[in-house]
Order: sequence, then structure tokens, then C-alpha cells
Amino acid sequence: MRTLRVALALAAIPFGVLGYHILVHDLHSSPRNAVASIVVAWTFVAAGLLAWSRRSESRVGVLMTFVGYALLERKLQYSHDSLVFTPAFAFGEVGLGAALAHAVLAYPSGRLSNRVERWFVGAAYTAAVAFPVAMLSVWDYPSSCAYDCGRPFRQHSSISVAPSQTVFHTLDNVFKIGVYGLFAVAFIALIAWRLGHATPRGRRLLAPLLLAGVVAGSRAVWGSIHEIGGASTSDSFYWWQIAGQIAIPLALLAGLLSARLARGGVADLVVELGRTPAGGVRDALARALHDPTLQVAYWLPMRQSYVDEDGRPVEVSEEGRRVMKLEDIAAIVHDPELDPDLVEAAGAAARLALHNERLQADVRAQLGKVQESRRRIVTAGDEQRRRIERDLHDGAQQRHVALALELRLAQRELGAELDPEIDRILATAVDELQVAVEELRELARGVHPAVLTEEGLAGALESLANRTPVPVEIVSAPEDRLPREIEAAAYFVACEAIANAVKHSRATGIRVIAQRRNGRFVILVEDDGIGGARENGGSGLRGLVDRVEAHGGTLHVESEPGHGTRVIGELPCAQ
Amino acid sequence: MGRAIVVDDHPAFRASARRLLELSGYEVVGEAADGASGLALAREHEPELVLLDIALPDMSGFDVADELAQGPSAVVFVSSRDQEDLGRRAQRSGALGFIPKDRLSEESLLAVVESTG
Repeated sequence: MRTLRVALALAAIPFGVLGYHILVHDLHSSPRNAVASIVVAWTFVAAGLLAWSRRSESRVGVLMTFVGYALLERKLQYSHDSLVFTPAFAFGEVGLGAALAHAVLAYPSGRLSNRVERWFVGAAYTAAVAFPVAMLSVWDYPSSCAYDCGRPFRQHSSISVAPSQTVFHTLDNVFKIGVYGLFAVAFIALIAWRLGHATPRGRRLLAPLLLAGVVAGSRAVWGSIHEIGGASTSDSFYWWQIAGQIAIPLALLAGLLSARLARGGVADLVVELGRTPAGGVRDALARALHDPTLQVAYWLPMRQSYVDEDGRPVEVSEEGRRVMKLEDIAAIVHDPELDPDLVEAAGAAARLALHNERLQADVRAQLGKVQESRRRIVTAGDEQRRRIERDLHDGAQQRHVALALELRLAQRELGAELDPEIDRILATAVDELQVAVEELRELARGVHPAVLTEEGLAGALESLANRTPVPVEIVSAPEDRLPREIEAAAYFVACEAIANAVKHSRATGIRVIAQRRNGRFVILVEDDGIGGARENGGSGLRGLVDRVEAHGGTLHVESEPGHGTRVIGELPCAQ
Repeated sequence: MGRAIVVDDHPAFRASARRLLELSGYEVVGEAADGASGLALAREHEPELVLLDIALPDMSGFDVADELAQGPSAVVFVSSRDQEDLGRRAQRSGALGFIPKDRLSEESLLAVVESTG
């Protein structure tokens, strides 16, 4: 392919020189105009070959090269030699009339994106060849004239089979005024539609080339209007044509340059990844590819699913996006207008970093599952505690109180008939039963206080304060209900902290603050005791730390000797 | 003393409570094992006293007491739990008082009934 491109580049030089010669000597064009015209064609060839070389997967380069050659070929139609003139005239409109529109609409991928565009390009190629061939077939020498009609010399058509000046003129007018103008308007409409449906990045990418396309399209419309008016093209109109035509390959070069800069960004990415902290690969990729909407999803083979960098499950959707998958590692979800090669290059550059990030995401996903499982265990434990409390209440407690009441009734009903010894035994039994009932109540409260279930944290704290031998001040407590697990965790923190204060700190007063703060629920228990408590000093506090952490919270103890103790638990709790 | 009903889901306790109320001079006109039946019974007989358990299978005894608050019946709560386990709602309700079941006796009942005159 490289040889072919070199050959095409070299061949364009003599081809251009030949075109210049024909323009100057046969068309009697000014050397200045002839040079400009050849430069336009060479610019297309050069830009096309460069694009072909850099983006071999895109057909735009090939199309641009083809346009350049078609423009050079077009110069041959001004030749006075009918054998040169006839084929050159037949295909003279292919370059500007069809191939250029094809290249613009196919930019940047090289492929037409929908059926309307394919129909349009197909019709343009057909019309660009059919009309000139039809005109050649009715060419009526010496009346028919296509160019430089003021001069006595007229070209011959080698394929004229039914000469008719009337038909020739009709075809000429329909083609140059009707068909050309119609195609130009449709071309501009297609470009406007494409711009309207492109992503913001796509618009930036397409804008230069599409602008050039619009210039060329509007030139065609303007040309049609001139034909209708019968006015000859002015010098300024000629230079407008040249500027419009040359803007297209230049815009393509700008697009190439932008791609090259982006590829430079990939090189920078390699350097940046060396100092990117954990979790920063997505941002580095987004910067390198200039796509702030870029997302990275990491593949977890064990789960057969994607997760984000924090290990949370994510869906990889191609709706309105494009996905580049790095096998068994990650998927890069990006703006569909990004150059796929560029994304692939960036993905390859970041492969190792993405692999590391995937491992971290895997660990985070597993940690998330462990955390979730920990939370479920604690919640299930609380539920079990509630059930045990309820069972104690409905079973043993009920039977004991019923028995106590029955014995008391027996005492009352038998009255004076009762043997004093039996009366004493019954009284002792009732007392023992009451002690047992009280112990069962205490056990049930320790398992899970009913007041917490029925009344919530405020009621439970109040009840706890009433049962505590040291004065407890409830400074604040939520009047509304909180999630069960938060109420239970906060209550047991308060319970353990108060029990420790009573048992070990020689406190004379305890304060409890339970309130929401910035999306968290804070339970603070402070006493005025001797301090010196340690967070890991006993299984009670350790168990509480586990319970609080299971719900994504924290627990810490401040206990300077001689300065009392503060136990502070914080739990996530939405408003 | 007047008529009374007992609302409790434990048959053994209902039987004992009936005997206690009768010993205390009440005519027990009915027993109910859940809140809805208790409410129906209270509306039918309009007793002077309703001995009402707090933990009922279908609704809370507090809710039953709220429903009865507009009627002529006085409510005395009973529970195998202690006052401390019930929180503030027992105090907020319109009941005459609360007696833990293990402390239920003619004397404790009389004390509660007479405490409000």
C-alpha cells in the first residue's frame, strides 16, 4: 500500500503539469488561475494520501485522493483533442459532483452512516456520469459547446450518436441548474442533520470539514443561480470556488493534526499512569482522550459482571455510547465520536494500570459483600434477639405470672382454712416466683428491650436512665423513629457505656446525647468518672465496635485518666 | 363494684383474672383473646372496668385503650412486662393505671381503681 501511495503522489505531479498545460494553452486560462486550480487538486491528493497513511482503516483518505485525481482529470476536458476531451468530459463531474460529497459525508470513519446518505451519494455518482455521457451522445458539432464558447474552436464528441443542439441545451440546463442545485441543497441539509444529531464532541470534530463542505455546497447553489441568470462567473467567484475547495483538504489536515495531538495525549498517558494514585485511571484516560464522559467498568470473571472502581455493580450499555473491551480486564465506555484506534491505543497503554485497578475493584467488591454480610448478620442477630424477648414474654414470663397469680388467689380463697405452714410455703413460692419474673424481665431487657421495639430510642433511653443507679441526663434523643438497626446499635452503645460508667468509673453523673448530624446519627455518652477506659479494654466495647462498624459507622472512646469518659458512636443515617 | 371484662390472649391468665375480679366484687360479663373482640365486647356491655393486656396478637392494648377512651369504661392495663418496659405511652394513655401481672391482686387493683376516685 505504501508503494501505491508513493506512486500516486509522484504521478500527481506530471498529471498536474499536464492539466496546467491544457488549462493555459487550450482553455486560455490565466497562469495564476491555472496554478490555483492545480494546487487545489494537489492539496486533495496530498491530504488524502496523508490521511490514507495515518488512518488506513478509514476510507476518507482514499476518497480524498480520488477527489484530487478526479480534479486533475477534470482539467483534461478542456483539451482540444476529442479523444482526450470525450472521456474527460464524461467523468469530469465525478470529483466535485460526487466524490467530494461522499468524502465529506463519510468523514471521519470513511463510512456512510445511514441509508439516506448512501442513496444520496449513489444518486450523485450516477448523475455526475449519466448527464455528461448523455450530453456527449447528443453532441452536435459545431453548435454544441461546453467551455470557452466564444472562440471559434469547438470540441468533438467521440460518442455522439444522435446530434441535437436542442436536446444538448436542455440536458445542459437541467444538469447545471436543476440537478446540481438540488444536490447541493440536499447535501447541505444532510450536513445540518448530521451536525444536529452529533454529540458535542462529534460537532467539534466534524465542524471544520463540514464547514468546508457547506462552503462547497453553497458555491454549487450560487453557481446554479448564475446559470439561471445567464451571468458569466466573475473573478471573485472563481477565487471563492478555489478557497472553498482548498478549505476541505485543509480541514481534513486539521482533523489529522487533532488526532495526532490526541495520540500525543496517549503518550502523556503512559507517563501520567506511572504516578496516578489508585482509583485515578479513569480520570487519566478521560484527560488523555479529552472525553470527560468516559467511564471504565471492570470485569470480574468470578461474578461474570462489571463493577465500577468502588466495586459496585454497573451495567455496560452501548446506547448512545461506544464500548471498547479489554478482554478479561475492563470496558471503556466512551463518546462514539472518539477515534476507535485512539481509544484502543489508550486502552493498551493503560492495560497494566487497568489490570491493577480491576484487582482493587475486585477486592472492594468482595469487601462490599463482606460488609453487607456483616450487616446482615448483625441485623439477623437483632431480629433473633427481638424474637427471644418476645418468646420469653409470651412463654416463661406468662407462665410465671399466671402461676404467681394463681397461688395468690389460692391463698385468698382458702383464707382462714389454710394451714399456717402451707400458707407460709405458698407465700414463699409467690415471692420466689416474683423474683424469677423480675430476673426474666432483666434477661429480656438485656436481650432486646421491648420498649425499644415499641417506643423507639427516646423511650428506651429514658427507661434505661430510670433503671440506672447513677443519675443519667438525656440531653437529646430523637422523637421520631429511626431505622431499627440504627436504634438498636445506638441503644446498645448507650447501654454498654452506661453500664461501664456505673461499674468501673465511679461516675456521679452521666449525660447522653443522641441526635442526627449531617446525615449521620451520633450517640454520645459521657461521664464524670475517673477515666482511663480503653476501646479494646473489654469484650463489651469490642462487640459494640463490631456492631457499629457493621452498619458503616464508627465508635471511639475518649478517656483521659481523671477526665471522665466519652463514648462516641456515629452511624450513617439519612434524614 | 360493677361489671368488668378481661382482654388477654392467655386463657390461664384470663381464668385467674376472672376469679380475682369476682373476688373483688366485679361481675365479669365477658372475656376476649384479642383487641378487636375486646372492643366489640366493651361496646356491647359498656362495663365499668376493662382489664386490658398490652401485648395483644392483633393490636396494641394502647390502641384498644384509645378506642375506649370516649366510652364509659375505665381501663386498667396489665402486662407481664414492667412499667419501665412500656415507655411513655402507658403514661400518655387515658387508662386508670398499670399493674404488672405478677403484682396483680385485690389490693393492687383496688389501689388503682380508687386512686382516681
